[in-house]
Amino acid sequence: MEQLKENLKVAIIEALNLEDVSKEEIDNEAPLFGAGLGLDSIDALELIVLLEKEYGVKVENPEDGKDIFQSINTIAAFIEKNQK
Amino acid sequence: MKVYINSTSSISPQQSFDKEEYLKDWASHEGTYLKAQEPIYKDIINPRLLRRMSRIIKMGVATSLTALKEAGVEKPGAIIVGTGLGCIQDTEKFLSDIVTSEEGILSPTAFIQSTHNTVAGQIALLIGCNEDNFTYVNRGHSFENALMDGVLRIKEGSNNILVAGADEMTDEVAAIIKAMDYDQVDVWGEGASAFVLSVEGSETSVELVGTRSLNNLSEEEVSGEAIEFLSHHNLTSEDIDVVIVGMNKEEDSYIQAIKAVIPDTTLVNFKRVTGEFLTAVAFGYQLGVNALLTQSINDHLIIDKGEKTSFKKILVYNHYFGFNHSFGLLSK
Repeated sequence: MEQLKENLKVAIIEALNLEDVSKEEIDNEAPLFGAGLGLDSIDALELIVLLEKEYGVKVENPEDGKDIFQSINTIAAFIEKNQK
Repeated sequence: MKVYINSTSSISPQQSFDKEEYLKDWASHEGTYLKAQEPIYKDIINPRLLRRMSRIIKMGVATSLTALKEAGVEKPGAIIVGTGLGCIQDTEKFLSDIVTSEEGILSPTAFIQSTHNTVAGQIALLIGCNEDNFTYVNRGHSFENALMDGVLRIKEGSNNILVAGADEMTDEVAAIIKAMDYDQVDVWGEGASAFVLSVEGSETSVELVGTRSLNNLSEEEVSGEAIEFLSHHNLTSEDIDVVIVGMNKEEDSYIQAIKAVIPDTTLVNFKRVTGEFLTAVAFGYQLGVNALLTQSINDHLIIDKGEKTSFKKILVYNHYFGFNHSFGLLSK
């Protein structure tokens, strides 16, 4: 699980081109949207693409996105639960 | 009514963005095209917005924000951008994503940013400008038509119009040009230049006296049109101190046609800086403004040196493969 979170951070930095952010700066529990990393709705779409491409996990219901993309912890839990 | 260029900014394959270093150190280039020397964008554009921008957007936005700042304009009367190929890097990314994902799920950013009007749109979003926002995509006249729109707006009562020209080159486009055997120019290039057009000028302004765009001219017609253009502005060839031309190869019959009717003037080739691309002429105008303000032109660009030591009137002539031709007149 910890390795998954570390890999996820690297993948997010790369996919969202967060040049000024290192993986050490991303707290597992910190919110990714708004106050945290300051991600926005386009980033949410990029994250959906990332999960499907890199982890083979689909976000079937867009309304679930708010809970899934809350933090690194919630994304990692979603991947672990749904990855086949 | 007069139209003044109150500020300019340019990113080109030579150092041109920092005006204190303007064309001072002549950089040699390797590779299939001249790549722009880009500034540190974090100093100019909010890093949070910067992360999604491709090179053409960064170049277009950075030069536009700098020109606006230099002119002391917070909200321009309109934003008008000319681009030949638009955001080709994002278009390539989007198309290659379609292929690699076998038409599956695609990254939204490249799609959103792949449209030609992204540059003008990003400028408007950054400065919160709700005025008219136009993008001209007219091959070798893309910048000229943007400039003409700006001039017409000034004449219709608007003020402080932001006009920019921007194009980026990619390895993919360079390879396609080569494969199509469309490589009949000395070198291809890229860059962006931005201008603020205003009703009133100052000591640091240059008057944009006029512009004219024409298509499909013979060399003889270019000679005639050059004289007619000057005559339309009550000038003769003797009144011109410098002619800035865009030669896409060093043996260019259209430039000889210009030289035949304006023989004793300083002749300058701006494409030695930019290489060839669809909006390269924007740098020609920026070079002209800079020459009038500093009374100097880098020796690397001079084809013929005239006898006049001070510059008051500069003719800009460009053509794109003999198809799109344009004239512009700058005065100080």
